Amino acid sequence: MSATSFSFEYAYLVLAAAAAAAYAWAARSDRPSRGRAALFALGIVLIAASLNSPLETIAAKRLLLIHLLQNALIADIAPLFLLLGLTPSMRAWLSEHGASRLRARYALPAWLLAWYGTHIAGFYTWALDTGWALNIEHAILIAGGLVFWWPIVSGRLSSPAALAYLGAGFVGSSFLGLALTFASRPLYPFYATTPRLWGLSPVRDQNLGGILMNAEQTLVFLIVIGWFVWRLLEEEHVSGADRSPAAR
Amino acid sequence: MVVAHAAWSAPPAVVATAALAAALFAQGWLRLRRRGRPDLASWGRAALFALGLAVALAGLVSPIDSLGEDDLLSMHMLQHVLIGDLGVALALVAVRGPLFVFLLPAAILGPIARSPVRRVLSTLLRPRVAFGLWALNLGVWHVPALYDAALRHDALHDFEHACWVIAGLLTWTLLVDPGAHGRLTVGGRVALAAAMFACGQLLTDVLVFSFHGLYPAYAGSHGISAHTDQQLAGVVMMAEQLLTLGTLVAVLLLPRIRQSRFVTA
Repeated sequence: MSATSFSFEYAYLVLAAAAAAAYAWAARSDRPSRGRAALFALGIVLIAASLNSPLETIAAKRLLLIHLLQNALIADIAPLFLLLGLTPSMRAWLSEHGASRLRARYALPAWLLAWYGTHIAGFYTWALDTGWALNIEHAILIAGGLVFWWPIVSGRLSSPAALAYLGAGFVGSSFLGLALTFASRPLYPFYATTPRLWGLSPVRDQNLGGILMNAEQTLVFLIVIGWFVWRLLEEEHVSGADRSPAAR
Repeated sequence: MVVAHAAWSAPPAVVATAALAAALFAQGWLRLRRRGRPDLASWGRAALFALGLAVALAGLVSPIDSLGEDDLLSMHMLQHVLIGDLGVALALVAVRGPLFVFLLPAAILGPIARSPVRRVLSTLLRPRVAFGLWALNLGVWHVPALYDAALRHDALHDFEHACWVIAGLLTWTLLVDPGAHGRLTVGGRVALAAAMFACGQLLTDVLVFSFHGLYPAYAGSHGISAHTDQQLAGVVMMAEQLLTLGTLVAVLLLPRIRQSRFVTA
């Protein structure tokens, strides 16, 4: 199969369509701003497109680098966009229907478990070998991402708690990328025997995948951390904590 | 394995500076204790200051220095974070509170307080100035041409190390606030720490993500290729910043988190 051929995970096309329909239905009574709607749409597109395009072909047949890019898109970025796209009353509805039980102290370990668990060599190889199990891997990653970002987006955490949560998430998740960056032998046997692309050796492919993963997480986490730091400063400004003559 | 370049050294300037710092701390610590305030000058503080000094000295007199100068970029990076971050941070935490004022004998402190030095320090310790200088220092000294020039010229190398220590002292004084001047609020200190981490991360990314070695002086050594050595240097920077700035932010935020839980409850 050519690297530019399309591959499909049809389940995610159906799920993406269902999510878009549910959002449109909810938006009839609670009209979201254009920005929110765009974020939600972007989240949907990131999941649907990365799992139903040549990206899927290369990820499942050629390069670990692209598989890790795909995972980063569906596990880190798309879930955040999806949740940011919800209006306050949509989030309130989700809270009333069980999401309020997703406390930060459970969400963080659950996300880390999903993150590391799906990247264990045995699981990864099984998913790639069978093909259909890739659906399970991707479902775990998307669900893990939604669970992780929910305490942040739902507004349940104070700014200091959100910063601590994000810091712990950033540090906790970084070891996988570092391990892949520095590993001197292929950790995933599947990619050691696949046809190569762009002249990348299996080890180079793996190292670049680790670098990509770390870079993506650094960017996403620093942006969100920066937003909460700004919010903390705003709160201090409102409460008058920054009005001492020396605090300038 | 015996490594040819791994050697201890005792540069007179380093030893003299360390001795001066130790003497200043000792006299301030003793004066406070003689005034009946051992609670403000505990043995724990002395141990912490000694640890800070030892960490900074380890970067300058131990094999870290010789390995960093001759063999490995990652060792050179370790040296910089030890003298400019960890050592400085530990020492400033050790002297916070009244001990900070007692560091200088009254005969010296008085004239300094009335001299232009105070105004200069006050300017340097403005958050934007201190951070700007720190970031500039970080960026400038990692320009490959300058980095290599410092390795070739001892005087420039010493000046580089002095820059790291001074930049570290300025920013960590704002972060730790040993004299309780309140130049920054808690949020401001967290923001400064985040900004420092972001800058450090930028450098880390350049080092880790480069496809080839950026510093010609390092060709790889001790079984580590130049490229891996450079990537390790980036990780050293990231790990040290996560340790020091992460600990600081955790200490600053913990009371706020407890407070917000109490309010919620």
